[in-house]
Amino acid sequence: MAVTVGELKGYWKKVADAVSSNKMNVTDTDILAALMAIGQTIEDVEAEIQAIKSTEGIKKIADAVKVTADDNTIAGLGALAAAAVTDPAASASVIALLKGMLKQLQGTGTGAAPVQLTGSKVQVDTLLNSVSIPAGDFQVFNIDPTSEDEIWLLISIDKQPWTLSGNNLIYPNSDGGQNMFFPARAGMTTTHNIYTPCVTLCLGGLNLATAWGLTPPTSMTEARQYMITPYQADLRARLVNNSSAVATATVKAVRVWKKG
Amino acid sequence: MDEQRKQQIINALMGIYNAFVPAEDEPELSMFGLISRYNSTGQNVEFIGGDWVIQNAPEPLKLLPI
Repeated sequence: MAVTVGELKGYWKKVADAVSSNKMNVTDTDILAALMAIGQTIEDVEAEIQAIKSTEGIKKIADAVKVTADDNTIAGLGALAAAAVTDPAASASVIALLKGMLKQLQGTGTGAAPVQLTGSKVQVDTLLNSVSIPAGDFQVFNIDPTSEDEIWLLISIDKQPWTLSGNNLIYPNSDGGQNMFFPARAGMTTTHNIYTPCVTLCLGGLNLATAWGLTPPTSMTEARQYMITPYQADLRARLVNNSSAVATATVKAVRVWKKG
Repeated sequence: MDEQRKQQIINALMGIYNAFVPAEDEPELSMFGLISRYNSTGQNVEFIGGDWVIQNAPEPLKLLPI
């Protein structure tokens, strides 16, 4: 029969009460001492159980216990200092294989890097943000090329006529003419809002004009054959407002890298 | 430009913003549309542009799409 400490304590109290009320007359000193010792033992056992149940007691047990496994599961995780293993067929620890995976992703493993960027990249920058160009005046802006394969200009302007020209490769501070773009945008009699810009391709620093001894391109295919890329670092353009009113203009550059 | 003139310009731009009606070829007011309309009033003697609006005007003007 299972007896709890509380029940045992209750039984003992009945015995103690019987002795003290002379219902049970214990005259033998040894028996009396034994009964007193049992009572004290019950108190001690109860105190021990309370200590075990308390946080301090449980923590003492947890600190004293070490988990071990008799199979190879935990050992297979490996040491934190294990060297990286990049061979997936190798019999290595889990930590070693994880380190190997990181090494491979960082491109320092074996064979070809597992991740390679491919394809094109396109970036749009605003070169002129709704500038106001007085009548007959112009606005110069930097195109700021880096390593693009192509740069397209998107021009929005609300007055006409207008003209776009560039600075040439030989004399960067001079007007390089309109044939540095294709299609050339000279004496344009159209206006373009932000949703329907006028588009043209930067060809680089050569003015493809008869004055330069060249035949201007007549198609995009021909224009691309004339292109000088990478573009010169100081490539600039000039937007001229040939109208008799203040023009509003926004110019954006669409930068294209065809290979990753 | 003094503060009074700056506020005068902002008030004019807010008037344009509040009067804007979307159209098929201009579904929302852009910075370009704002400055274009302001230039049309003949009041833009300082030739301000979109950068000035971003640096000096409050929302919603400075947040208009470029």
